[in-house]
Amino acid sequence: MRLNAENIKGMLLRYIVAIVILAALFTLPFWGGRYIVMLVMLMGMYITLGHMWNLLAGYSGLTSLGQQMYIGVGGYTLAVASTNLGLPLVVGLIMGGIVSVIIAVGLSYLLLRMKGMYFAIATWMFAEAMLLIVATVSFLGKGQGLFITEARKLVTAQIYYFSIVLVVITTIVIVVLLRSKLGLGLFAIRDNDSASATSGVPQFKSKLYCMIISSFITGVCGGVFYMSQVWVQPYASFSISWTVAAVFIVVIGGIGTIAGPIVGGIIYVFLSQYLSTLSQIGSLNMVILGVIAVAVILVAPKGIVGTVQEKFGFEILSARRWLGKSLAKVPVAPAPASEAERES
Amino acid sequence: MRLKRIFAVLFAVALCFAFSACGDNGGGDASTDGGDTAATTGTAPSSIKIGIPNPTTGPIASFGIGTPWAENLAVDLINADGGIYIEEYDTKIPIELIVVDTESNSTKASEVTQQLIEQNDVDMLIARHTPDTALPVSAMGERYGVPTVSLECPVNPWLQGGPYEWVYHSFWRVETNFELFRSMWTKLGYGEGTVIGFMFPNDPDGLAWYDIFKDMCDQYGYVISDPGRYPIMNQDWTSVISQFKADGVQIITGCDIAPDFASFASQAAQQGLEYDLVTMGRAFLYPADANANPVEIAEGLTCEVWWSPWHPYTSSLTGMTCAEMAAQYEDEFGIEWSAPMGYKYAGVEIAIDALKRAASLDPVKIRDAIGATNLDTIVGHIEYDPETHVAETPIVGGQWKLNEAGDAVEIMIVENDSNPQIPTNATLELPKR
Repeated sequence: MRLNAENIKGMLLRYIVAIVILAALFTLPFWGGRYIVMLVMLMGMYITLGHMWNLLAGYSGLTSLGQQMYIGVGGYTLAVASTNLGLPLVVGLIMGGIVSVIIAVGLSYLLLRMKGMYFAIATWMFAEAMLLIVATVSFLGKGQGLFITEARKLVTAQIYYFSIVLVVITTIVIVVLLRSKLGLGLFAIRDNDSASATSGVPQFKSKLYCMIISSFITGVCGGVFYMSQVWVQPYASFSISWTVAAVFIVVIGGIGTIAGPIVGGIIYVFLSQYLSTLSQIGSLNMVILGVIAVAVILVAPKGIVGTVQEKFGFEILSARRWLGKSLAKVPVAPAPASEAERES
Repeated sequence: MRLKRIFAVLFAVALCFAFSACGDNGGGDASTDGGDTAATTGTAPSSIKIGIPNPTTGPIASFGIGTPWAENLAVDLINADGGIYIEEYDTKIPIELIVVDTESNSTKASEVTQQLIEQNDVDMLIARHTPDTALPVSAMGERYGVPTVSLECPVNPWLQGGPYEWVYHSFWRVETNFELFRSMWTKLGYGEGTVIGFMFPNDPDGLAWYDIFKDMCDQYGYVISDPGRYPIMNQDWTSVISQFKADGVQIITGCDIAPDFASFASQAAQQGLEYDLVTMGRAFLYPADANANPVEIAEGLTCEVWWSPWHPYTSSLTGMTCAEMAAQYEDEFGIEWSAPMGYKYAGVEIAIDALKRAASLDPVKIRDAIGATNLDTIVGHIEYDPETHVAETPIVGGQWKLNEAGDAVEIMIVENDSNPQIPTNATLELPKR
């Protein structure tokens, strides 16, 4: 790395901005309104969800439609661990992540042999199968679900900290992962699957690591979410709407960028909160979210962050090792080719 | 570089604007949540806020019809008189109802209830309309320490979310409903040995009903044909129909959601399933749900009726009768009354009564006032059990009969043995098939 005055100034600025943001986040419950605390808590969870879907779809080429499986598993594990086994909630959260990893590893030997839409459909199918299994097990309350009575004692500020710690750790994990050798391999897999294989990128291992990380963090995220909800019910916790939300967040924010899920998560929470107050529009809120997603895909196929990065070279969080200004080039997922480009 | 700075500033301004648009609800205190919202000094709030999560859309949207008309019927009257007297401020404060859509989804119900508590800073919550709404809203009321009036969800699944400190509930028990159904079956000559087909979905209502119906059917010597639990919004009923055919089912009972029963009944007719009677909860409580079926299926269906224009109860606020309330709704909207509107009104009656007695916005005082309720409402007498926080309300048996034009069915009261104060207005009959 070449260190000159400008680079040092840039690094310092980045660290100062990061410290200010972290300080603001960790002190928010002391100076922010209760609703803002709740909003940021929700943003933390949805950004985490978006990050994990982005890790699979945006960097590894694994378009999963089954992320809801880990949300449900995380919620149920927390409920069983805290209510049935009497374990502390934190242990229940970590157990949720571990159980999710066990399931992900078990399924990976089947799933990672599929690509594209086959992988997507298979992940959705496994999530639906898990829903049916959970909804028939008496120990898990069948369709009634389970109440997480221990979580009732928590105040929003406490759950807020779970959410913020989770999203900060997740963001750091993503940055570190993508700047590692594994991350470089993932970019290669995403950009050209066959070429990366011939270049010696261990595809199965790289994708497996991504699935493990994604399932663990999504499982913990599900636990944090249901810690806030108090009641985990199969049809809601294993609903495809979780993955739909993750896709929306990443598409809006910018697939294949680190800052994309952050921007997308903030927008998603603002929109869903605002739209739910408009009772006169009823279920049109899903239509509105869909229209926004379609509009962004048409106007800015790389999402908000991807487009901004491309136009201004303004990179909030870089997925690449810092190589100096002269070599800086923004890595974003390639936009879908237009009809004319494909024909040519 | 300049562009980057401009963009950074714009981004920061946008974030600040977005956060400020969310409003500030009194600043932060990391150590406290609900239960501390009552101001004891200073300017009186502009309103007493009551949050109402309502299934306006989604599979149980038929329960949400009538909101906020029924609630406003009670609130407008109080507000016309200046509102409720609150001692802390020595003034009357009007009531503000804040209705949000749960989309018939329990996760969404939790989220919007949190929003009502954290953003709108509601003083009370009213939870109604099946476990899908009543359970998550009650859970949130309990977690944040917000006094909550819960109604219109069978007592059994509601109790599973307990024990409750901040929430009080009124409705009937599944056991009471079974006895009502059994009374109708007995009057039609179906006793011990009758083959009963079970249609209970795998949801909180279905599971709570199934356990009790199974035990009580066994106890009374009915023969059960049970195809198992199925997910809600089921599309293919072939296996259920085949089992009912094989077992020679005479009566079909359960608690399907309306779309499920309609699709089952249609497929059963196509596949030639013959049965004598359907007695079911939840599936066709309202005219729109019953008339979603062809009249030849809808005629003769039997169910529980928790509120009707013929119930002899009156409003604790105005003395308005059930018949007057139903007539006013039909006049204003041109559509038929439905049972939930009685409970929508009763929820606000209980809330107003508790607020009047509490004369305070202190959540503990409001909660204690709800617990001490002893009120004749438009759905009957409400007096909560101090242990369970439950007040049971009456139900009678109803049957859908063909209207005069012969093009639709309308509900009639046909069975009132357990609650003779509610008069019958038709005779229970086996459907002509």
